[in-house]
Amino acid sequence: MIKKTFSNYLLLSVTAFLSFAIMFGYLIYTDSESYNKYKDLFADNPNVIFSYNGAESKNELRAVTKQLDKLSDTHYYYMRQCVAQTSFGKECEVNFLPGYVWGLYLTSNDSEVVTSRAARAMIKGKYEVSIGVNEALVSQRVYNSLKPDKNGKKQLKLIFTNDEGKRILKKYDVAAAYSGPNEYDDLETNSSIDSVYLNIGSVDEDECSILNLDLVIYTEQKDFVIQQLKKSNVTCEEVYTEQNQAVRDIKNGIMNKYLIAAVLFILLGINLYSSFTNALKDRKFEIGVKRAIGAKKSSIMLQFVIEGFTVMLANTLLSVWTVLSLMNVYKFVKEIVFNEKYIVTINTESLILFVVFTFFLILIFSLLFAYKSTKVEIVKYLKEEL
Amino acid sequence: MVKDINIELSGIKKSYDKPVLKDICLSVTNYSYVTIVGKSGSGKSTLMNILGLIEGFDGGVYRFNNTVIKKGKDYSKLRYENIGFIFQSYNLIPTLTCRENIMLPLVYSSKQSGSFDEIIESLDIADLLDKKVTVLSGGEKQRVAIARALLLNPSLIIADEPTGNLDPTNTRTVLNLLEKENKKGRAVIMITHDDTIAREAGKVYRLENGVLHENY
Ligand SMILES: Nc1ncnc2c1ncn2[C@@H]1O[C@H](COP(=O)(O)OP(=O)(O)OP(=O)(O)O)[C@@H](O)[C@H]1O
Ligand SMILES: [Mg+2]
Repeated sequence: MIKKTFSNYLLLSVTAFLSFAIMFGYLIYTDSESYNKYKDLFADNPNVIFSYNGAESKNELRAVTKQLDKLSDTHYYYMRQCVAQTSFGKECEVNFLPGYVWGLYLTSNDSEVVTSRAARAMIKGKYEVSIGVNEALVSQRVYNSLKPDKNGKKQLKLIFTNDEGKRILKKYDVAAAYSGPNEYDDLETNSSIDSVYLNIGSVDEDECSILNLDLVIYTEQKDFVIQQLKKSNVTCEEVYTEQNQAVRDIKNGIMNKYLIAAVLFILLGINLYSSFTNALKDRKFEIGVKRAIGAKKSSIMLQFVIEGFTVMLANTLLSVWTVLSLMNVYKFVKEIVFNEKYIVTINTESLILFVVFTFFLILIFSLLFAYKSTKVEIVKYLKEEL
Repeated sequence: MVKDINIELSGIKKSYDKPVLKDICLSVTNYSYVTIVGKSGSGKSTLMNILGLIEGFDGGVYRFNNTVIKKGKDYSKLRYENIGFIFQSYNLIPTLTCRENIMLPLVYSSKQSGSFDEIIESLDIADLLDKKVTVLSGGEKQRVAIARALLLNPSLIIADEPTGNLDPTNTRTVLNLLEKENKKGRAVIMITHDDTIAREAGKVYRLENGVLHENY
């Protein structure tokens, strides 16, 4: 019986299949593309605030950092550039950081020796510590301020900005923590200075330059801190302007989706309508006979609603399956051929849109179909076959 | 028990491009056995379709068991409760087997079926039941169509040339069956070309120029 029904509905099935595949394919493709485009961005800590001109007005900055010092769940670091010599003569960037702060000290790629006089003094009795790539040497105070992750591991997170202004979050395992005072007090503040030492290999120079960052604040109280910064006339950028922009992009994407869904709805609607009419043509005689022997309009309608629903639903599932398979092929190509990590995903909104879309198409057309099937005088359907 | 049946037509008109039925008057009740003869194209099938409530008419009054039939309304209940229609062109659904075709009315009616086995036996179609309708001969199709029409114990049997494709033996069988059903109280309206068959009926009409004439 199902087989019979399907042969009757072949044209309709093809149309429905293509319609739903186009719709679902469009949704899942755009969702996956935007997800993969933005996934790094959203992996970043959203509770970060940048201030670009902190150094220009020290008093204001001091006022701000005083405020920040009072917040237990807020850390900040101040970055200033200078050029220093490493032990093997290569120039590298050194950052001294005031306040509660984390200094950045880039050690040589292979050097296992921290060459800074200050650091040497601070590593209690032990003057050498090995810092691997993606490891950091931090002060006890910084270490204490780091939040352990789920596994109880403390990681230092730093943000770099490359030449294009794109921010990159880098994570460093703590190689060791040192204690003791820091000699540097470059900003002439009363605060002592904590320095963080990194292996120079941890920083890809193409990817990261740290030239244009002044004050970087991690905080759980983003709104409050922004308010404080504004009050002190320190211009700041709420972290993820990029994140916000991305959110806006995605929202625009959703508008486009609705638009395209509407257009597809109309196009596919017309298509489905003619396919339904075609399918009906083949069934007129059957309808005529059934009604002639006493079938109620409603039972004929029910039959066609059920058939229409089954056919459309089967095609929906088939199209979803096909699209998913195609997307996995696409993912495979991306990952194997282009060596890019790719995740196939669909947003809840898109999913709802698709479900509503298919549901309405199915409902409207099977009802319309069923209704049309009972409109005509029975004898006309019977004579149709002759 | 056969249900009461009482139908009355007066002044029924029907035109397509030309007028086909001009002034049809006919009344049928339980135990009526009416035969209609007429030239090909005289409108016999048209009249049957109107009687069987599957075609509308342009004028006149059609009363079916006290229901006045109006155009465009759905009389499916009257159809499956009262009418067994044997079509001139069989109207069997080609995708179904004979059994499915015969049983089809049961799908749309809560009514208990008549004695299926008895009907099958008297029409000698037991061997055909599981065949596809499309492979049957004309006479076999006709008998399957008759079985379907009789399944729900209709009080009115409308038979549009039920013996048109049958050999003398099967013609006899079908006529005997209709006669037997008529004796139980069912009304029978039958169309035929065959004068000898017509003579067996209680009442014979000739359809000519859109009017029924009492004949013989
Ligand atoms: N749907 C229609 N549209 C136009 N003309 C029609 C239609 N149906 C029937 N006719 C015409 O009405 C006339 C009566 O047709 P009908 O089928 O009732 O004849 P009949 O008496 O049953 O003939 P036969 O003995 O050959 O079966 C014919 O001339 C036919 O061509
Ligand atoms: Mg005819």
